[in-house]
Amino acid sequence: MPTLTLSQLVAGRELAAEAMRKLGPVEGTHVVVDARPLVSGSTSFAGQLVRSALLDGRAAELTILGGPAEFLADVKIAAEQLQVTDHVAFAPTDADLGVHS
Amino acid sequence: MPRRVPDRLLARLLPEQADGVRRVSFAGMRWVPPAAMVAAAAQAHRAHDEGVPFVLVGPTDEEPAHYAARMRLGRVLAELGATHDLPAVREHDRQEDLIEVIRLDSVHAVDRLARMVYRKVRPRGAELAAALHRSVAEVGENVMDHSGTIGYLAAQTLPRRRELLIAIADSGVGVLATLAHRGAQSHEDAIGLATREWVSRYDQPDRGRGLPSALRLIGREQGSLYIASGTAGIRHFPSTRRYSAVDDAYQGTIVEARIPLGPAAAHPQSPPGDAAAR
Repeated sequence: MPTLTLSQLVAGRELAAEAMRKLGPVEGTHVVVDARPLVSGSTSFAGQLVRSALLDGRAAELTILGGPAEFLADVKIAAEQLQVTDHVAFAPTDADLGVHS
Repeated sequence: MPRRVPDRLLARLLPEQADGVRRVSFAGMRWVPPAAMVAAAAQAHRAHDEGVPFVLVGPTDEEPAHYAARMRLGRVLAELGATHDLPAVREHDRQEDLIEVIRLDSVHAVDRLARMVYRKVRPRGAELAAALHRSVAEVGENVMDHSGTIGYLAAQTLPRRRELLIAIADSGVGVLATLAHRGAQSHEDAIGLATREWVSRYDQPDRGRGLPSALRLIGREQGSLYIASGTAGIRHFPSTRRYSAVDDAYQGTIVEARIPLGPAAAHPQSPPGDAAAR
């Protein structure tokens, strides 16, 4: 399961795309974004994360683990705009996804 | 039809060109807001790119002149081959709680500066720091995406007025050029469109939330966001807007956020000025 762990502060579409590219090919996989360390993430970063994982990378599913409410709202809005809401899930901070904190 | 007031700051930042030299003058300014410093740096950058000599005439008064120098405006101008009459200052004159004039020349620089803003503002509150981190990131990204050039950022706190000011400017194509195909017919129209959700130069359904997001976050902090481009300026307050105008077009875009820092904050619509700016 490709997992992207966010730092405390993230911003920028290009940097979101770059972070996703570093995961390698994700087509057909379940991508987990560990947003538990995140303190502040920009709207653009959240939007690009959804685009890069599900549209560009063709991942089957994207799960956001933890993260600040505003960031999650931005992910949700981007998913709605890109019509991929069925492929995006939100897991609480203590969810057991096999991701080490 | 909203009333428009003359935009005195924007008018002052319009470069004059004579005898092959482009000139911006801060003469007579009693203080130099970060918006003026970053706009001057952006105009010097443009002049440098066009091979036109650029001159900044510094403030006549010693205090604002030293202040602009401490903000490293002179150093930035010198690096661009521009000339100025700002005084030389010692490095240790810099205060810890401001961000001097710094160039935004890549998405990595935007990210770094947004982080710097977060660190500087964090002691004043986590929520405010996060709001400004996101806002600076969005505005900076806009510069990278739309201006066709680089930008400059500066920030300062005004202890007496209990205000924090952050400004970003570029001397790029301006907002109208990027949004004319979205129906903007004037600079003012374009600024209005730029702050509306889902309006972007790009034909992608998930674009166009950056600047509106910055506006919302700054409004939540009871701050105001000024956006100027071409002949128009709009200061967005939480529940109202103030429209301003100049006769000749400013080439590029200036964005300035003003955030009150506590219960003693001055009313955000008060005129600028704080002799103890640092």
